Amino acid sequence: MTGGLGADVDVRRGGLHLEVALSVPPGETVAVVGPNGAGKTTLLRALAGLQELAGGRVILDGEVLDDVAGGRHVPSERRAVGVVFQEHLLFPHLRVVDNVAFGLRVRGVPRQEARRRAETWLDRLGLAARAGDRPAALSGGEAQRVALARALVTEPGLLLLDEPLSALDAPARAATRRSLREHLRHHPGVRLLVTHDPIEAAALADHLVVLEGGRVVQRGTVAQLAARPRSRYVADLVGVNLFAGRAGAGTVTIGGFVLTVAEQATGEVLVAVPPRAVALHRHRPGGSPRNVWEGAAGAVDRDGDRVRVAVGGPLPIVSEVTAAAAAELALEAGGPVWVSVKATEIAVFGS
Amino acid sequence: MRARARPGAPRRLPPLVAGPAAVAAALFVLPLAALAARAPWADLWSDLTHPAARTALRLSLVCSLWATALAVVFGLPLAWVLARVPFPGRRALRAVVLVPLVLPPVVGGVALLLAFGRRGVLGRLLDEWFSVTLPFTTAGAVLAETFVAMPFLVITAEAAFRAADRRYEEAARTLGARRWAVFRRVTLPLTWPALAAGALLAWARALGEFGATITFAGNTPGRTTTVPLEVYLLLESGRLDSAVALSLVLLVVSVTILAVLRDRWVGAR
Repeated sequence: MTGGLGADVDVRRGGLHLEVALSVPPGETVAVVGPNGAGKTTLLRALAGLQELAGGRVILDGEVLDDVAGGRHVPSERRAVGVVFQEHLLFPHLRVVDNVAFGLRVRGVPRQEARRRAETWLDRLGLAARAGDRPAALSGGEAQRVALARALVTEPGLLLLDEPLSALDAPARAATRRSLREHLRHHPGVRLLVTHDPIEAAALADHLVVLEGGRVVQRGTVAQLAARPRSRYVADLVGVNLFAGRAGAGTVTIGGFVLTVAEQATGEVLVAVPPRAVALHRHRPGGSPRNVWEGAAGAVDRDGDRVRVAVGGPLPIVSEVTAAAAAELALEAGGPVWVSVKATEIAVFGS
Repeated sequence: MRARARPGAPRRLPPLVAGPAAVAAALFVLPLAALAARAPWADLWSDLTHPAARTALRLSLVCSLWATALAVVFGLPLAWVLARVPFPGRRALRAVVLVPLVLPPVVGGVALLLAFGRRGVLGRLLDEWFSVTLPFTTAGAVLAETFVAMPFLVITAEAAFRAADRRYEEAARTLGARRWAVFRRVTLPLTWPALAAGALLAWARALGEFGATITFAGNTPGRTTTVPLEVYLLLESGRLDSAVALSLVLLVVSVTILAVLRDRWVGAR
């Protein structure tokens, strides 16, 4: 492979033994997902050159960055790799524009030229008005975009994002997820993000690599993973209800079924509903929740004290309830059940 | 003055505590008050502009600034190494660096003589190869001041380098910054307040240095007689007023430094 990322890394760190092989062509986004402690961040640090390898090779666009057997290690500062850190890590003593210009300045670009190019990036990310501010004055979403601009300004062949949305509160997350998806798509190199959030992974990435205990347990598209999940974690991960639909004013129409959503979007979209956000009732629920419909209980899957219920009807959907709640519902296959979903629990992103 | 009764506070201060506490407070307050009270306010200006006083003041300023500069130039890299580079004997080296903090300055002066004196280990080589003699010269006074002042800079800077968030340095590296650029553009700006405080402490210590200087550099007016040594000379020759005037200068400088550092060191409560 001439372009893109080819990595086969072996890292030992504390009790973790990470062994991962990856091959990602340019222009593709891969999400490395897995539970805490699976080695996601360690993998990202290894690719960035911040973590020593015990074995293996890393090749980016034909350049060997690491080759333990061959005794080669390109230090972090000489890799064409950009990193967006989980906590953003914007330099608190520098203004926003100088944070973004940092990568150019240390490469010897004159100050005026570096500022001008940084401003172009800030403008592209809708942050032109923030150029003169200190990072402390930014909102979480703004800081995230500044961190992205700072990583992209040197046009790296590999862009690494560590839990890019986890530092944000819920409302900012939805908006930032949409804009991040746009910006990632315009980056010509390899994009690799690390996340524990299945919605984030599904929304941002073309391929998923599932990491558990330092090993890859499964890889593929969301659809491929959903078709045959190989572990409980993957099942949970892809158990997210994913629908393709068309967004209008506060609604998404999915094959004739209209779902009320809180996020603003237009055109062709994907809609993700976590099973835990799907509530089941024996009778039509009171009050005025928007998304309420009657379906038919299908397969009931019990795992510990959680029960997953596939509900047929106008919008086939999977619900996850506690065993106690399931018992109370006295579900029987084919029996009627009422479904409700809060609009705020529904994630919407461009398809 | 009577303490107001507050919930949780003792109604009356026990005499066994109040007595010694008052003595301790008096021990600090009385001498300073006496110094201020004895100050020859009317003749202050003429005392301070007296040629010997002016020479001592100028020499003190020059020597202490040189000592501070040397402490920064050599002490910062040492602090960095102690904070960031693991090597065998690091703990021992750190302990040695801190010795001048507690060592009687006279002993420091003797040690300097044995090392840099004309017959000292290094002094002989300096004398033979470069014809450089340190004892009883202004350079010697600077060296003595650096010896006692540098530990203040080193401990403050080491703590700052240790406490600095290394993740910012990693972020800088991924953006293409090499070691020096990381230090100059990230570490230094982030630790700057602590480093400045360390340099200020070192300067204050250098300015007040007496024992090591008089032992190693002697007391030659115009060459090694800094303000503290001049105060000593004035007292010896019975010119109390001039001694008090110069002492006041040192007191004012100390109080000023205390005020500048207050937020960092004293005002924490």
